[in-house]
Amino acid sequence: MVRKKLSLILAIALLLTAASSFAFAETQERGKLTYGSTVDMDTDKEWYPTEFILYLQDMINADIEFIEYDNDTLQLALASGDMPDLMMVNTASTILDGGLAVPLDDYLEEYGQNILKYEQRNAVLREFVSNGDGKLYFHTPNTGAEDMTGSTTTWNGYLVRWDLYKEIGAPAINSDDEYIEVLKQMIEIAPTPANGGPVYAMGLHGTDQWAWNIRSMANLGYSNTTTWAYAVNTQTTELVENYTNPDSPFWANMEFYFKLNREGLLDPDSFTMTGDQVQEKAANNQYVGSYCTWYTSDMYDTNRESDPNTLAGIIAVYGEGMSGWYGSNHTVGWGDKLTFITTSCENIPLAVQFLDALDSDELNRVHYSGIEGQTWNYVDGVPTLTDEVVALKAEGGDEWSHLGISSFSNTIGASGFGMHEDGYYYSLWDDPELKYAGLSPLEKDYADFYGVQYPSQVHYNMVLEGTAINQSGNQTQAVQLGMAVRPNEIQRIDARLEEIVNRTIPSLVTAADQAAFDAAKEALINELKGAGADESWEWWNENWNGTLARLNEMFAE
Amino acid sequence: MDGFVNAATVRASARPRKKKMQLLFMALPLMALVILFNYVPLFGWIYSLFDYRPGISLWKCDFVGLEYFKLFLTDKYDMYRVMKNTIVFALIGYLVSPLPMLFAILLNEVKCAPYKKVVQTISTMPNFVSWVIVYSLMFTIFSTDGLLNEILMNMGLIERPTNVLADASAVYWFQTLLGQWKNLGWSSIVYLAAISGIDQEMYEAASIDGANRLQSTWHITIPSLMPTYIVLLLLSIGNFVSVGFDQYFVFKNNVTSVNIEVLDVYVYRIGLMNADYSYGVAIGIMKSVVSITLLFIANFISKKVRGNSIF
Repeated sequence: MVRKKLSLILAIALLLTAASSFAFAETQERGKLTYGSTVDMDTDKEWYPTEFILYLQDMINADIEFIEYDNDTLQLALASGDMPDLMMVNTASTILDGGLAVPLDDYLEEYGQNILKYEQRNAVLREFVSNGDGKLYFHTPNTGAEDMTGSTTTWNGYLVRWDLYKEIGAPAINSDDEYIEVLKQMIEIAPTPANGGPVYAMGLHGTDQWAWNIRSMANLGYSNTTTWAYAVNTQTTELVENYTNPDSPFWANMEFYFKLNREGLLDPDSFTMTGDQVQEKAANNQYVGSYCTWYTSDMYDTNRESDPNTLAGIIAVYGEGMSGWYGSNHTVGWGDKLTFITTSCENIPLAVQFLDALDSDELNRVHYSGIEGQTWNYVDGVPTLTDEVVALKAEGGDEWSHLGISSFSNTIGASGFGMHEDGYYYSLWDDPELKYAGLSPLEKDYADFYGVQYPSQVHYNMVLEGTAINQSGNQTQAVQLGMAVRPNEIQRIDARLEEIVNRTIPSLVTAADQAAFDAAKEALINELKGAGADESWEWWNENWNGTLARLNEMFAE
Repeated sequence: MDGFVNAATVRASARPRKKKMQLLFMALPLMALVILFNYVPLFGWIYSLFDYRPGISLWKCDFVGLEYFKLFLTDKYDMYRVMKNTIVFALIGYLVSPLPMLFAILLNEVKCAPYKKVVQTISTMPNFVSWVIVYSLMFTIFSTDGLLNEILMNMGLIERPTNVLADASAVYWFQTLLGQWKNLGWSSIVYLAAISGIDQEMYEAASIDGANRLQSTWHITIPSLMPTYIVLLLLSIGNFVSVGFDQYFVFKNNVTSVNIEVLDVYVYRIGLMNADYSYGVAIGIMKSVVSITLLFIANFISKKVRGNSIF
């Protein structure tokens, strides 16, 4: 009798469970979101969707379709009103003036508790990016401090081909002149490339002014703004004239490339090459140095295919006083990547949940370190990466890419060095021993050579000693976010200045001698002033300093 | 009787009218296409009167009137250089405009049919290659470690590599050569068709009168081709300031930009790269006005001088 009763109770319980599950499934129907940006989301890769994306989708119970725009199609989408549910843009003014963004305020209490945690970021966004109504329209990624100890390697520095640099005795480099001397010595001993062709110190994708600016800008401790006409001191966030100030990073670069060319060390194709063509020559071992590691990474990858332990690849060495491109504290996130919910969105609560997930402890840990139980576990209360994932990172390849670790940096809410509620960083890769375990043979050789645990630790140690700097005082992103929109006249002047510089760079770099270079320099500065450089500077200086002062007030509060 | 005659006359005259209507109806889809793609877009000209920003309704944008046209006419930084480049390329284009006719005549004189076909095919093929591919090909040949430099240096003819793609002084002649290489065969087709339409009896009569091939060409072929040449020339005058975009865009770099930036490339840079849409439209309108004016002038001159015109 008792058994019968028990069976009956169990049957009823089962029925109730099934019914409630069914009802739950009915009410929790999976939603759908579309998200458009100019960021490459790798949706065409075989390993997509990544574990991270799948986790994010399950977390908000929605499928997310990523739409990749180029600048033209993005403008077209805005102009036509044919917008996805969420979009990422680099400036807010058009979105606000056109009334294209949904204010988040009405939804935050119910769906945006994680968003509300970022009070300082939200306060700045409400003050500067709201058309004065004080509402919150945008979400910025990567809020918080970067890795203050430096990532495994830096892309800037005196970039050398490591095997040749060691072969000439790894001499110290403390100036561009010494760097040129080292490059010259490396070329002398460089083997003939497999596919023929001459060996140069470096070649640039010089159709883009980025290439002509970035080396000295990074090494001297500056960062770029929306125009190359100005640079920002990353220690003080002070704005400086990049073109018309003869001591600017731009002129340091021009002097360097001029000397390099005069020595016959600069690839003469530098004025016509694209980035791919630079990579092609790098893969053919035609360079012994570089202006940025990204554009010569194919050298190591290609050499490693034939010799897994090769040391023939480009890596940074550091000189005294040199800046490393790391260590910024992005108090308001990356201000040029503004995500908003469009007025076309039909499920605003779901879109807010998406933004809220980006700011959550849970998703940020998954983004930077992977899924608990899969790539890391708590060991004695300490979140610890598994040996397998550490090995997988060092190996690289599709299996590593499929995890999606750190693949969503342009969108995820916090920086890797934000603090999880468990008291540890979102990124568990900070441990120097882990960094060492994940090094490639070249990086390991470099680290062993200098007695450090990862290559950029050489630079970080110099920062600690006070002989080098990083970007710890950099508030560029925040100021740019808060700056007023450039008036049309100023935008035109800035575009004109860039165009004039673009077409003058070749004559500067190929000047016959120092006197010709100095004359060309003076002529260019005068031409730029005649084209409105002073008028532009006046506007920039006033607005930059005004915004910076207000931000400092807010941060002090 | 009168009534019968009248009815027959009406029926007879109705038939051609009906036929005309049929023809008009047949033309309607094409007219619709022309209106849709050539006239409707003219509405976009209105953007030149506003400070337009994508995402904001045009009517909410600031009305600036003719501000951008004034800017165009008073721009002393770029406009002079850009117009100079455009005019230089246009004039060079006129100088070399008889080349397709000359090529067609020479090709027509070739008596070996298979050879003639091979030459015509080879010379026409480049027309179907996009300028992007042409650029890649030229980079492979002319870059400092390209094919040409390798050959010249191996032969000891030069000591240092040259790079015509990064030589501002070579822009005009090099781009003209490229243009001719790509278009000569294709452009000559219309002249080959015109030559095939010349009455063969004229050549026979000339031959009987003792004319040699050169004289036949000079006195029969060239005069017969001139109407075609004039019409094409008149049409090209209308495109005086539209020398092209693709070719100059792909070959533009920091070195060549000073001489290679023509009006169409400039409009692209201003309108799309600098996102100055309204100003870009204003420059486009000014270009159209100049083109139409030139076309009317050329047509008028042709009518007065030769009695030929296109309208």
